[in-house]
Amino acid sequence: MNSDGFKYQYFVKIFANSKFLTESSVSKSIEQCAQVVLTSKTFSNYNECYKNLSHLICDFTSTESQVSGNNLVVVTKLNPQFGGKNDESESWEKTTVMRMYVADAALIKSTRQLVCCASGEIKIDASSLAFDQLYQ
Amino acid sequence: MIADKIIPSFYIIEITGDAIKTVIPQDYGIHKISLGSHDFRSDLHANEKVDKAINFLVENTGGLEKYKTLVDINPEFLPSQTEIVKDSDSDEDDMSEMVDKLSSQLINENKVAIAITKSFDVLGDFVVSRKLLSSESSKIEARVIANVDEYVKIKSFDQYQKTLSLSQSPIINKSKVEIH
Repeated sequence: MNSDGFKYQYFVKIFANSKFLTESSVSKSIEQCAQVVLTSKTFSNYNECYKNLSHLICDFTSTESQVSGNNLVVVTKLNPQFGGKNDESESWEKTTVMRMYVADAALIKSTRQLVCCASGEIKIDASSLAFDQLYQ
Repeated sequence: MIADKIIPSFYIIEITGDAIKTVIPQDYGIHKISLGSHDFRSDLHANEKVDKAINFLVENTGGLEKYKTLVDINPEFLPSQTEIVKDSDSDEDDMSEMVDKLSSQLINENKVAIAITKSFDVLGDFVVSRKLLSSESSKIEARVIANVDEYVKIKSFDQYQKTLSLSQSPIINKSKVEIH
């Protein structure tokens, strides 16, 4: 997916159950925040987009793990259209390439559900797709 | 009337440029940060927290003197604090007439119509106020927004009362107001 002519953007959501929104220095000034959405700039290279997203998610996970004392893990899923495993619990738009979830390992094991405190995804910028590529 | 009601409200703050580093100091190629709050008891409580957040963002990016500030207040919520400038009285009257007419047709089914105009803000009529702070390197846009369900409930109840008084219909069970 490197230099393929497409443009990419990542989006990250940080949810209210994260320590970032309840115990960080930012949360003391931006009070009662329920959700944060980060929108990246547009990358003309998938690897660059992925590198930035994974750095962000890894740094976030490591800080959250330290503060919460929980064993947080990053779960990555790739759109089956791009070679990922078919998973009925996950629906995919054509423009979404992959998703990352930051979740508590113990909770995944006990509930068999992906309860996450943050998630991220990489999307192909629709403006860089030809009309027939979007709808084929 | 919306202005004399206390409606739970929340805020949305959008940050672009250097002010992003105040929330996420490291460089991950972030273009925009959007922050959305829980509901507060009223728009005044939400506004207080918005001011605190803006103060934090501004103080960490060179101070208020570097920013140009624009504040808009939706006249529907705070008529006494805003200069009401009506571009087209006739458009507003036409809309009101249409809503009254449609509501009078629906009232026997316990339904009323309300108008969604987006005339104050692109997000919707439920935006109470908007603050835009811009400097050469940063932009902070904050909105205080009334709880949408509560807003629609109050608007539809007001329209119901108005339609009833206009139509002189027999009294209908007020608990069954539906929205169209």
